[in-house]
Amino acid sequence: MRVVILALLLALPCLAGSRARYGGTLKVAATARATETDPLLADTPIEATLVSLLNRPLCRAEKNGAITPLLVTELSRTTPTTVKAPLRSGLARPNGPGLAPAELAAHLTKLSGGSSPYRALLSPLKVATANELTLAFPFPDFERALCHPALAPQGVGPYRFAAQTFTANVFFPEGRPFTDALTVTSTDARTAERLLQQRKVHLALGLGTAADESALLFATFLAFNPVKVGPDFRAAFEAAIERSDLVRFFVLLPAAAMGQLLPPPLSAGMTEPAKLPRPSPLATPRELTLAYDAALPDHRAVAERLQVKLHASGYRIALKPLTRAALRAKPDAELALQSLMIPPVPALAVALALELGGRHDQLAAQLAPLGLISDDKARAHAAQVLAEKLWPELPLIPLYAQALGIQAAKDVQNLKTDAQGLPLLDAVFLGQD
Amino acid sequence: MRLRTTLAVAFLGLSLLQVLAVVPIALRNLSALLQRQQESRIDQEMAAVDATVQRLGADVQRAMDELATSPALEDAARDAAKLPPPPALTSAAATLMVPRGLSVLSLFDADGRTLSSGHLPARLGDLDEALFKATKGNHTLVPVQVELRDETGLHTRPALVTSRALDYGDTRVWAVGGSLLDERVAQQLSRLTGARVEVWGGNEKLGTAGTAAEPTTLRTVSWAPVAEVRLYFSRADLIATRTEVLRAFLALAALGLLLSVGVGFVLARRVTLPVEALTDAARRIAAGELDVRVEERATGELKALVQTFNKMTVDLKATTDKLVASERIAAWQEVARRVAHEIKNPLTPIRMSLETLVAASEKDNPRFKALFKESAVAVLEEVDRLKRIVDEFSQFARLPRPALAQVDLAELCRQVLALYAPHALGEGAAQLTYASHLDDGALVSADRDQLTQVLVNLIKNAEEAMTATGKGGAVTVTVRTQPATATIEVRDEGPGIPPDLRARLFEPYVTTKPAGTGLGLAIAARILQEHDGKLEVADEAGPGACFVLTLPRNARG
Repeated sequence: MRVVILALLLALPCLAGSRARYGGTLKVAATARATETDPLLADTPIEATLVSLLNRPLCRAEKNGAITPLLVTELSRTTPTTVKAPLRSGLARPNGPGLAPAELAAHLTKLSGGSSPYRALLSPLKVATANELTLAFPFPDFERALCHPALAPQGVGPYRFAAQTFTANVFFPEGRPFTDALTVTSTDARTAERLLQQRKVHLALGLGTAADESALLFATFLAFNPVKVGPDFRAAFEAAIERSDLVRFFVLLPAAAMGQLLPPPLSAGMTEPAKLPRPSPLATPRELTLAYDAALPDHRAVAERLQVKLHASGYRIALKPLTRAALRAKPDAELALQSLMIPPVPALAVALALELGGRHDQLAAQLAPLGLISDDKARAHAAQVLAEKLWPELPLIPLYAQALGIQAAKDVQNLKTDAQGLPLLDAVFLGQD
Repeated sequence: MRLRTTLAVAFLGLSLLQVLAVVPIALRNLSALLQRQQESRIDQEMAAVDATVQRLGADVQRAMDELATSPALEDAARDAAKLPPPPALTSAAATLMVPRGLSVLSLFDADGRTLSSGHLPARLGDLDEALFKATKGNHTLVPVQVELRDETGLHTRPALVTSRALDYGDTRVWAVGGSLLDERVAQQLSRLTGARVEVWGGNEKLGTAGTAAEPTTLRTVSWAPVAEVRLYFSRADLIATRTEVLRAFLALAALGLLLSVGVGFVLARRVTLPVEALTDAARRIAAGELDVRVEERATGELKALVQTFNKMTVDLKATTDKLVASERIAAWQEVARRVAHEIKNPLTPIRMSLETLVAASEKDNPRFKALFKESAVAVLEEVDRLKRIVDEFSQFARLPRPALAQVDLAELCRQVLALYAPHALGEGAAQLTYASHLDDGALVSADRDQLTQVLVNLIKNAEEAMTATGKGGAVTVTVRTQPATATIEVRDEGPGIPPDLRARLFEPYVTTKPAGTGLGLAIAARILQEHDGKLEVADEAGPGACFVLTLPRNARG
């Protein structure tokens, strides 16, 4: 008994150190400037992290596969095609009225009929009404789709933004953030690292040292117009471009080459695509235009690399920087770099690939058979098989997948990430060293 | 052409000849001079271009030397062994390039793989053999084709590059850097020379700067085989200068020509004035004005000529006065001889008649009465003859001024011919007839009586000439009109006029008739002269004589 008491006494300081503590300001350095505020467009790792402070989806996909309801009290099925999603009450927003069930239904309806590639995630949705969503066909991964940060209705999040500071939303249904406030400093990687070392910030986002491969879900594709680029383009690309070089020299880390339609965390066990024969250089140079996201240095560097490397194959590529909205609205570009936040579910990833590849009309037909598979692993495998089948058909060339690199100071406690690899900063509290 | 005009034209021609001879030569020499000056200027500017190019290379060498010893390159060499390459390495070339004024810089590992590239970051990780091999171990400047990209695509551009190596432990890093031969070079050289500068890489024009008005002179700076800089120096200034000088020259030449013409005219005037005065004086002298003197305003030979002329006129007047006096004396002598001769002829019968009467009276000749009557008739005849002689002389001396009136010559001739009728010269002798061919409308201003007197005189002469031959014949009077004149011809078929008498026929006292005074034709000629007309003898090939009166039509009307 004495021993037990002594052990408890010795453990008291440790308990005190790990106990959640409210208050304080979490100082964050970000290596990229967050310019987009619309969840549908703020889909780079840093942007998604910061936008999720203000806008949360209906639920959160946990890394262990579980789903945590956030804006809804529950997500349950009454039938295979009926999802019950009653909205929490009192979802106040800093400006305007609180989020109402009808507004949420309208939001989901609008998204499913919109032009964003993320509408593919809602392709099974047939009717959205208050508290209930009706599907066109059974689709077990639909609840995971609802957890995608891009589908979040605007205005309900753990923080509110004012005067360049994120302040805690004490009415957030999951509970108020531990820190009272959160500040973000946009800077370059070297400065962010130095700030972190000097303890001027608690967190540095975008530093490529985190090696959580399961978070490599931010995929970049080269979408092409098959008519404009010619029949041998894919083979010429594969012959000219080393994806590992792209990852090593031209994109922010952590990143990995992406040889499949699905990002690395979802493509385990997939068969490598067959090597295409190297085509001979074009006799007559082909003039093409490659559109890319002007806000992303990665895009520019990769676009330049493609321009240089494909030149020897006879492709004269002009570069055209566009805003993200303009880029997304240009599905028929000759060449375009498109980055998407891929959900950690193979069937949903295939849906996004189909959408990005211009096969929106085939979504239901392709996804419905997957929805009939109730076993998660079997469904994931079927999705991988479908992805392998679609690889040569879709006018998409997967390039690389990135994750959010995070470095934290020692006093940052309870730093967790969701299934998307995004940090849950509202759960972070500042402890003592 | 007048002498003055001739001289002025001669002066103008001489001046023009000088201009035409001098201007082309002067222009050719001027062009050659300007050309040499411009060539010299271009040579100087090309020397400056060469110096600039040398300086460009020296700047590259200096920057690369400095880079080779910089800690930054040592850091890059240290990072070269790291995998994955840190961002500090991949961006090192861009960071090191700009402050050193380089437009090309790549860092290579020992195999020629690009560790970092400032001018083409997209080449990271690639072998860049074209750049690496061309410069590896070469500390001198090498002209090479460098790959560059822009928004439109990948291009090759000429550059002057050199390489430096840095060892860090076992790692060797090559830095290859230099300067692009692009539009900046063109701008720099254009600012230096003022020429239009073009940078060419092969057949592609890579940059141009400045302007040069056509025509131009081309000079080149070559970095064979990758690049060539073409400098176009405008020759427009040269052309403009030559044109300006030509204009000035032509203006001066034109001024000189004008001056030459002016001076020539003045000089010609000075020369020709005395000549013209002499000409005028000669003309006046020819008109009988012997008191003419020419002013001695000339110089030199002309002055001597004028003096000689004046002396000549003086002498001529003196001689003429003497001649006139002599002629007058001779005329008086001739008149006296004629008068004496004419008077002497009647005096002899008068004297003889009177002596016959005196002798018959002294001898109481019974035929005295008859003799008296015969002698008185003879004396009276001779007295009449004397009176007629005196009247003719008096008429010749005091011919009245013509009283002009409109006279129709045809009508006048008809009236005169009406007084004459054909008749025989004797019984059984030849006939004397009259014919006429009269054009109507021959109106003249004349004294009708004086013209009648002339016509009667001519017809009478014709009758007498044909009567003298005894062969008879026809007297033909013809009136003709010409646009300005009207003529009356009086033709006979007599013996004609001896050739030796034709020249003097209208002089007083020249006659072929034994009893003529020789004043009839002289008076007729003088009447015609008073009417601004003339009386002539036509040259007739056949027998007979033909007198032609010519009068101006409406001469005083």
